[in-house]
Amino acid sequence: MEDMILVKGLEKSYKLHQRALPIINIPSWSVKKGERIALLGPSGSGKSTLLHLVGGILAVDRGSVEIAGELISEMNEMQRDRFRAKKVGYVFQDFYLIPSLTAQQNVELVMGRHLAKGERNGLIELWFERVGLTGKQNQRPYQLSRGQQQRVAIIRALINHPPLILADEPTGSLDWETAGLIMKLLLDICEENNTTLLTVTHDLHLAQLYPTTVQMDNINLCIQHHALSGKG
Amino acid sequence: MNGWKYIWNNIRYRSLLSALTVFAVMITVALFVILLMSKDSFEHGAQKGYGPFELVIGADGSDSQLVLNTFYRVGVPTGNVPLELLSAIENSEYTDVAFGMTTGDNYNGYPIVGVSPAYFATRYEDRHLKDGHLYAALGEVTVGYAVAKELGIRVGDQFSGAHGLVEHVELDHEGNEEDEHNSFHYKVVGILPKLNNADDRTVFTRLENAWAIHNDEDSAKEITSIIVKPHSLLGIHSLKQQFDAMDNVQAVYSSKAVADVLNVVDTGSQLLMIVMSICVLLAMAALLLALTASIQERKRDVGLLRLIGKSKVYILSTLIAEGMALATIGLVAGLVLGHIAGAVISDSLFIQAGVQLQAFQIATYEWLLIVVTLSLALLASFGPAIKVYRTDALTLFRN
Repeated sequence: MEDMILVKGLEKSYKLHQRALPIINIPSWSVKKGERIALLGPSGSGKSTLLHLVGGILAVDRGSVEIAGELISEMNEMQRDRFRAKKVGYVFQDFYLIPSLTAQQNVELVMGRHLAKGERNGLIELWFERVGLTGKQNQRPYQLSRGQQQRVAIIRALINHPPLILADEPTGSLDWETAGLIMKLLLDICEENNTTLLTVTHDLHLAQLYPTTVQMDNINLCIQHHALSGKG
Repeated sequence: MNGWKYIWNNIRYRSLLSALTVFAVMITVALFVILLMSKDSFEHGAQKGYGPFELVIGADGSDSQLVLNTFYRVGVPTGNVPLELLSAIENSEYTDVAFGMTTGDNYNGYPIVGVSPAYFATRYEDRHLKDGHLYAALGEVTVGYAVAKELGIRVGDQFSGAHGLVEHVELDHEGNEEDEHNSFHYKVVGILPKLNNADDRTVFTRLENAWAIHNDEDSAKEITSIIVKPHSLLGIHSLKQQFDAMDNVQAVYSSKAVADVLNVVDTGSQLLMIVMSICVLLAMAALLLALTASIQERKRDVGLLRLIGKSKVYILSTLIAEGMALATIGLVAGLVLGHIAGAVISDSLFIQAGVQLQAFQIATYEWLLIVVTLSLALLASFGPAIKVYRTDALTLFRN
């Protein structure tokens, strides 16, 4: 199976009081297409930093990051922006829906103009139905519950069928029951679409829903795979 | 998603802030439009206020006062000159036509001017009266359009005038009105059409009326001024030199005196323009504050847009476009409001101040107002937009 994420000799440091503080040091790591991985680790272990490096938000200090066959570590900021728009979907802890836009408009924001209006509306309607938000297209974020807002954010991340979804604590601000439902929904949709999913979470219970977990160790700055189930 | 849709949603989402910004721009622009229209109307009125009469001859004193009183019916006359002077001017080879004028009495604040009915044919050529005919007999008057409208005068009405140009009624010790020429009744025989000058605010009668009212003997007959239409422009200078040299008489170029007055008014207008320009800057400061406040609120939105791949140029242009959209809405609303307000106050302003607003014409410097407003709006939008331009996707993850 082809690699979706391929990391080699990746190093990233932050400057603190004029001194470089190493955050990431990964000699080699790969994620296959369609894999669904929960990234676990204590606070400050570099989980989110790794997510930002893979998503092209941060530039690498050393090494290379290849996503879907494209070397994003060699791209400039503008190229990474374009790459991200096409190949990466993001889901966040705080959803980050734009409050001035309706649920549908928040989704439309990421959609290209290649679809006709009717086609676009039809597609959006299907997605809203799929995540259990039928008829909520014209609601503004403040009119939706937190769980519903996260469902809209999931549609926004997936509607363009990006090959890679990066999720940063996607259930961190939801209650326990809703968190389980949302995580399950995200996993199911990614499985249906054969989309690679890399989720940062500190919740071991939810991580067990994933076919694969990866533990980031902030002492050794290395990654260990722990397959918790036979799936994936 | 269409960029304009995104901008419009942002404007609607912050509806109060947006409305206040638009309101500030709209009111400032509307006031500016009224000011520009007034300035235009005043200048236009002043320039065409003296018609073909290039020279005014009257008693010694301020030349501006003589011209203002003769043509614009403002202030008091400089004094009187003997009636014989009119014959001398009429007989000059340089004179095409000349008219003597008497001023000094008023009806309800509107000046009663004595002048030959031939004045109207010379000045207005083939214009027709709105109603009735021009005065002919002693005691007959033809009133200006604004006088008739404001006082509800109709042909056939009668009234008596008061002495002095400014309306004032004094009571005698028995409580009766003093100084009103109750014994001399005027009869309205005609109403002038709208002429858009001071003649609209004047009651016209025969020159002889003033002498009849004040019981002047033939030997003491005086007039307040003589207006002259010269044969040619070259003749004006000769006429001026000839009559300026006489004792207690001055001859004034109408255009020069009007230009002097306009210069003084211009200084006042410039001061007003400075005040209005400060208002424009304040309106733009409101726009700047609105955008800055909106940016503080929207930093995360911008971070998200960056994260989902929107370019810096997209973000910069949407923010500038938002500022420009608010300013443009305010500008258009202000232009419309200014012209509507101009149309509404036009008649009363004319009756009160003699300034006839051309509400449905674009004022001379209106284009400059549009350019300056949009330029300042661009400048006001640019600062906050640049601040946002530097926002990166990581903003989303910072506390």
